[in-house]
Amino acid sequence: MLDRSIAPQIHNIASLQFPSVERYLLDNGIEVVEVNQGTQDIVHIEVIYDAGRPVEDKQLASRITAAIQKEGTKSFSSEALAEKVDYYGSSINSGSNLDYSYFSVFVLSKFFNEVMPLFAEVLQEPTFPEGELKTHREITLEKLKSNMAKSDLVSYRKITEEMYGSEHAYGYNSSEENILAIQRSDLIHHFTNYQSSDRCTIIVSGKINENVRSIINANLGQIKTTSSNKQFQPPTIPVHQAHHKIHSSQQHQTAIKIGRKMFNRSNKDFAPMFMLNTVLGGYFGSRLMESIRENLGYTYNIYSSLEPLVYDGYFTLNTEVSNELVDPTVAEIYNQISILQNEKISARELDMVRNYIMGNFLNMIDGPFRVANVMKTLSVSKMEVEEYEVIVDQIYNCTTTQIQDMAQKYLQRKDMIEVMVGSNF
Amino acid sequence: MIAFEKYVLDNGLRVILHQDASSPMAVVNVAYDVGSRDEEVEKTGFAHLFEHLMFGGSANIPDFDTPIQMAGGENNAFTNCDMTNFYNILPAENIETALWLESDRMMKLDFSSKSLATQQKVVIEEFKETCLNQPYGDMWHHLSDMAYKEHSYRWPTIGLVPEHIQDAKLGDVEAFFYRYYRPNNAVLVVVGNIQISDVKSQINKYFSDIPAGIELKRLLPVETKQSQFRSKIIEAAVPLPSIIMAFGMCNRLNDDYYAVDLLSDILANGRSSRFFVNIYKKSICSTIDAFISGTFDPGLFIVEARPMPGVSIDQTREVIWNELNEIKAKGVQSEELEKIRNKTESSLVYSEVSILHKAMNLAYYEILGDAEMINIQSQKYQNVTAEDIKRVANEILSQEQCNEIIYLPK
Repeated sequence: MLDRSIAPQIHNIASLQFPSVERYLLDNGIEVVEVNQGTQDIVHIEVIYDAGRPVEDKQLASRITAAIQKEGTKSFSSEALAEKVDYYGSSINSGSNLDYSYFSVFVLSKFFNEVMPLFAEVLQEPTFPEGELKTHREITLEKLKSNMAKSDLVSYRKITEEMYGSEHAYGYNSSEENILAIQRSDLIHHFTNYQSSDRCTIIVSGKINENVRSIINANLGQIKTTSSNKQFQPPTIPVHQAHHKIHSSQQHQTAIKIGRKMFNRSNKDFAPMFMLNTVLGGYFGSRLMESIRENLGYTYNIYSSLEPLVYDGYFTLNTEVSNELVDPTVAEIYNQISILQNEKISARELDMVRNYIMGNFLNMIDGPFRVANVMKTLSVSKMEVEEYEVIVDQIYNCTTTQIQDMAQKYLQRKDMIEVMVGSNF
Repeated sequence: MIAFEKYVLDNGLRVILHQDASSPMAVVNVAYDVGSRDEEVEKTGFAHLFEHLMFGGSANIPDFDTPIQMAGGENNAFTNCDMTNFYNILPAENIETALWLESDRMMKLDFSSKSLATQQKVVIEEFKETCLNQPYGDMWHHLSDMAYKEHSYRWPTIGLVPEHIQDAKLGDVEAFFYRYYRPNNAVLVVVGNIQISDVKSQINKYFSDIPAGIELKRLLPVETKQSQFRSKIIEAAVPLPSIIMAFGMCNRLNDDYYAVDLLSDILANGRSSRFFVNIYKKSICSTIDAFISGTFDPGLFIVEARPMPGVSIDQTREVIWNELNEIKAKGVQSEELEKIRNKTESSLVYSEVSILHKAMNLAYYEILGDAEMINIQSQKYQNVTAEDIKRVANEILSQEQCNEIIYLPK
């Protein structure tokens, strides 16, 4: 009879074998990062421009420029372009997050030659039709109304705005005012000044061969443009305490966010803080999940997140609970934080968190498209694979004392912004 | 093409193995052939509540998550109206940990009243978070109730009301476990960087001594074909008016399923789809979509739209019906069909990239009837003709088979 109480032996993952990636330059000097692996006949290309919010001359210019680029090019109207791209089973995505603009496309290998010229037109010869901007503006305003009815989203907007200020690249929110203010000339300005070949990196992943490389070079490697030489220097914002209670028409739960400004990946505390975040609320077995969900049953989901940006970063604790459970939940969150400030975590818990993270890192480099995603993050942060490996190493070797230090240094209530969104306010 | 090996243990557990040496990870996926369609009308939401209890400890292991995390893995589960699926993704060398855990909870769950009490609270909060506190979050409650009168799809998986979850008893939990969570009602799939012979002997070691349960035969009421238009207006805390139309369609194993799926794609998949070009880009609606519920038993073809300011619900309904009548009268162009086939091919190729997708899909098709179906999907879609799409559009998109829900801001 099998003795089921005996657990199988666990093999630890002590280091990661980061897959090899190739780097080379196109004729116009754009750097290509190539992740050539995978079993399916499909290629993914992501083009990144250092043209995110930090360089904007007008709020939302980055996001709306990226959106309207797909809505018409020198040779194609918006409809004709969509028709052609769809015909090959493909789709072009574009957008902008806080730090960069991106344009990506998935293509079946057999249609690569047909789709690349279409993608290149979007990147190089957009026409920004006035009518398309108008339609986009109208629909975006409606979507904003829709989003403002979601308590969780409202709480996110408020906490990041409070952290950085409503004029800061990382702090401002979309609003009726700034959506209406964007004109066609702002898009052309943003495109011309910041989406140039000297601010561009291309990440290619999937099954790559010489043919794929030469098609990329022919389509994206010929036009050379230079940007206005704007250097973004983010204003320094002090960490501070604040409280906001915002009314919502959603009656059954209150969204809670507690957080503060942090730092980017180059800070020496990044790795131990990453560990602390995981212990506190970064995975299913975290202190907050165990206490507030699995033990008390107050919520369906509670988590914390540490978001490193290029110039800064932030930390948030997030949950949604019934209105009458807001006070006990907040009290328990701070109770769990104080336990981490007062006591070192056990060696067993450290082991578990470390193993979990290493497994997670391994999963993050499973397959060409995930490796490409890691390479994109590194590229945007101007980091080398070796620096990434150093951080992984620091996380692996993080001690229980370091974790306690981080809790004392960064998780003081006097530094926290608390935002509640619910019908009681 | 996904090459896999399938066999059945003496206790009825179906095992499917697929090797993918390109990944450093492995997936251990266990699917049980039970969903909310198997519930009783007074005890809805139970299949999903039970899924939560599967993490509360088993006969020999007090807590499921700790060993998985210790092994560098992650796990989760989902329940829908047709099946319940548990998955673990972990470094391939630690696969045995997942097999040990899954087999112990299949052998015997620790029926704990503490775990039941906590998960009842958690699931009620989930009910609030995903249905009650979201604008339009109760759409499925209204829609299921309206579109189904006999079949157990008439309640959503989360349950009809939070009280049903609150009322669950430990006795119900035990009975449910021994009825549905037996090896003869389950499929075990292992995918990833595995040695087939090693995994086979480990599976034999952990799963072969789990006793089989009774043989189950599903006898669900058959929904009578709808013959009269149904409608409902809901005033709620929503930001914008919204209109939803649902039409009954065939079951998942019917060959027409593929034609109906492509019909929804022609209307709403991609930036050149009919709804996108003729409705969204013309600033008539800020959201417009068409999709199918894709259930095992006869499902729903759904259209959902939110009009722009200044556009009435009546005008929205009219532009949608214009599109539906157009495709019913004139069918689709051959270029349009070719386009949608290419899109389908892309998404099938893409779905074979991730080992987790592959494992879940293998389990899904095996629960549906036969894992081998995973390899004929592409052909099934390619076989759909323009005439098929026109025919199914005429069969299902009629006023008397329409269930219409309108949300108005309170």
